[in-house]
Amino acid sequence: MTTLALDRAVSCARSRWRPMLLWWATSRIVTLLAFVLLDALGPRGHFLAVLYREPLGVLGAWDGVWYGWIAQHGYIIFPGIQSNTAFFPLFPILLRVLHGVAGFPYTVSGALVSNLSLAVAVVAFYELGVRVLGDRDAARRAACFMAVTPMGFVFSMSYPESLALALTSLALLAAFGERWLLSAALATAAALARPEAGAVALPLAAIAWSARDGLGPGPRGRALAAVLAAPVALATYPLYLEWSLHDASAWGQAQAHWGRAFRLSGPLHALEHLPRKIGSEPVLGRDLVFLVLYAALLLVAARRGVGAAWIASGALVLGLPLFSGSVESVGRFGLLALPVYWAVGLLLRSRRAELVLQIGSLALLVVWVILLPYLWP
Amino acid sequence: MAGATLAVVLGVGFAVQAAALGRPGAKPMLVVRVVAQLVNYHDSRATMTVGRSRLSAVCRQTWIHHQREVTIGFGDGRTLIDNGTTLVPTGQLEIDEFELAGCPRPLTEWLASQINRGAPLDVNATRVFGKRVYRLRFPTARPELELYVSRRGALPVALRIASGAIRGMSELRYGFGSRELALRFSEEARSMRAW
Repeated sequence: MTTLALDRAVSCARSRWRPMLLWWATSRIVTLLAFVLLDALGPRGHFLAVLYREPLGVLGAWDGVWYGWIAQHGYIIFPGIQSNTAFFPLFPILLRVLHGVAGFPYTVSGALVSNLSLAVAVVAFYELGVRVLGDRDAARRAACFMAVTPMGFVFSMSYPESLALALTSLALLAAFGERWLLSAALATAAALARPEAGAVALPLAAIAWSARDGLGPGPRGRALAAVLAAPVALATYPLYLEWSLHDASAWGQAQAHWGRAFRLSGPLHALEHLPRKIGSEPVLGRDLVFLVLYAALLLVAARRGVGAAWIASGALVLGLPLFSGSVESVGRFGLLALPVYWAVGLLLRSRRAELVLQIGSLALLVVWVILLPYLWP
Repeated sequence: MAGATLAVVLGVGFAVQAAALGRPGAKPMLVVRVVAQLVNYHDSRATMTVGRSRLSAVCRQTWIHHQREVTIGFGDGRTLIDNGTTLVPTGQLEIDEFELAGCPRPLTEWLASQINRGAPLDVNATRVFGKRVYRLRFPTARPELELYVSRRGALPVALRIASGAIRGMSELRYGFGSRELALRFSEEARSMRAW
C-alpha cells in the first residue's frame, strides 16, 4: 500500500515537473550545441589557449578558469593584482570533490554541477512558485522561463549560479515545509556558493514570521536559525581567509582589483561613468539593459501581489552589486532574483505568448554563447 | 536552539573550507611577499648580460588611454614597448631582454599566473652578486626564468634565463620613484652604451 502511494506520488510529481524538465533539457541541448559551435569555429585569441585543448573546454571560460584554479590549488591573494579570493568557495570545493572521487576534469565537473543544478532549481522553483503565487500555471510558466532565461547560458558553464539557485529554492521550500534545520543547511550552502544568496534571509524571515503562531519554542528557535544561517555562513568565508591567508578582507581586496569597491556612492559612480565606459566595454550596455529589465519585472511582481520580503530580496540581489560601483555582470547576478521569473509567469497569459518568449529566449541564449569571447557573463 | 544551530553553521562552514581547500604552503607565500614588494614600484633598472653583450635597461610603467604601458629604454638606444598584449618589436631576443629587465608589473603578473596555475616551484637559499638570496624557479615555465630575491625583504635582486637558445642574467634595482632620478638613470643607461 505504501509503495503504491509512493508510486502514485512519484508519477504525479513527474507529470507536474515534465514541462519545466522538458524546457530544461531543450535549453541545455541548445546551449551546449552553441558551445560546440563556438568551440569549433570561435576565435582563438580571446580565451586561454588551454581551453580549446579539450572538447567543450570553453564551458570553463572566464570565471570558470578561476574556479578551476581554486579547485586545483586553493586560495591565495596577491596584493595589487587580481586574485582568486574574489570567488566564493562552495563551487570549487565541489569541483575538487568530483575530481577526487570520479576523476572528472575540473571543467567537466563544473559543467556537470552547473547543468544538473539547473534541473533541480527549476523543479524546486516550480514547487516554490506554487506556494508563493498560489497559481500552478503561473508557477509553471515562471519555472519554464528560468530554464531558458537568456543569461542562463552560464547555467551550463563552470559557474556557481545554478547551484546557488537550486540551493536557495530548496532552502525556501524546506522552510515552507517547516523543516527548519534542513532549510538552515541549504541556506548555508547557498551563501557559500554565491554571496547574493545571502538575500534568502529575507523571504525565510517572512515564511518564519507567518508560521510563528503554530510553532513551539523549539521550532521557533530552529526557524530563527534558518533565517540567520545565510548571513552567518557569509561570515565563515572571511573567517577562513583569515585562517588561511591571514587576511579576513581578502575577498574585498580582490574585488577592488576587478574594479569593484563597495561604498555608499557606488550606484552613483556606476551610472556616472557608464556613458564613457560603454564605448570601450560593450558588455556594460548588455548588463545595463538586463538591470533595467530585471528592475521592471520586480515592479511587475510587486504590483501582482508577490510579497514585500520576496521583492526586497530580489532588489537586494540586483542592488548590492551596484554599490561596488559597476553594472558589470548584473545580468548574471540578477539570475538569483526569484521574483523576476514570477513576474514573467504572471505576465504571460496565452500559450502562444509563452511559446514566443521561450523560443526567443533560446535564440538569445545562442547569441550570448556565440558572443562569449567578446561579452563575458 | 538558534544559537547552537548558528554555532554549528559557523563551525561547519569554516571547517569545510579549511578541510577542503587548506592553506597555501611556504613557497607560494614567499611569492606573495615578492609581489607585495613589487607592487610598490612603477619602474626598475637592470644591468644585463645576454649572450656576450652587456646592456643597461631602464623600465617605466605608465598609463596611456586607460591602458597600462611598459617602456624599456636600453643603453644602446633601443626601446621596447609592451601595451599588455603586444611587445614591439617582437623577437625572441627582445622577449628575453624584456623579461630580464624585471619590470615590476609584468614580473608580478608572471609570478601570480605561475602560482595560480599551480606551476611547480623550487626555492633554494643561495648567494648572488654578493647578496644572500632565495632562488625561485618554475621548472615548467617557458622561458624558464630564475628569480633571485633578497632573503630579508623579498625584493628581486636578479633574474636569469636558464633555458632556450638565449642565456642571460640581469642585476635588478628598484626604487628610483622620482621623475628626476628616473631621468638621471635614463641618462646613465645611455652613457653605458659602450659596455
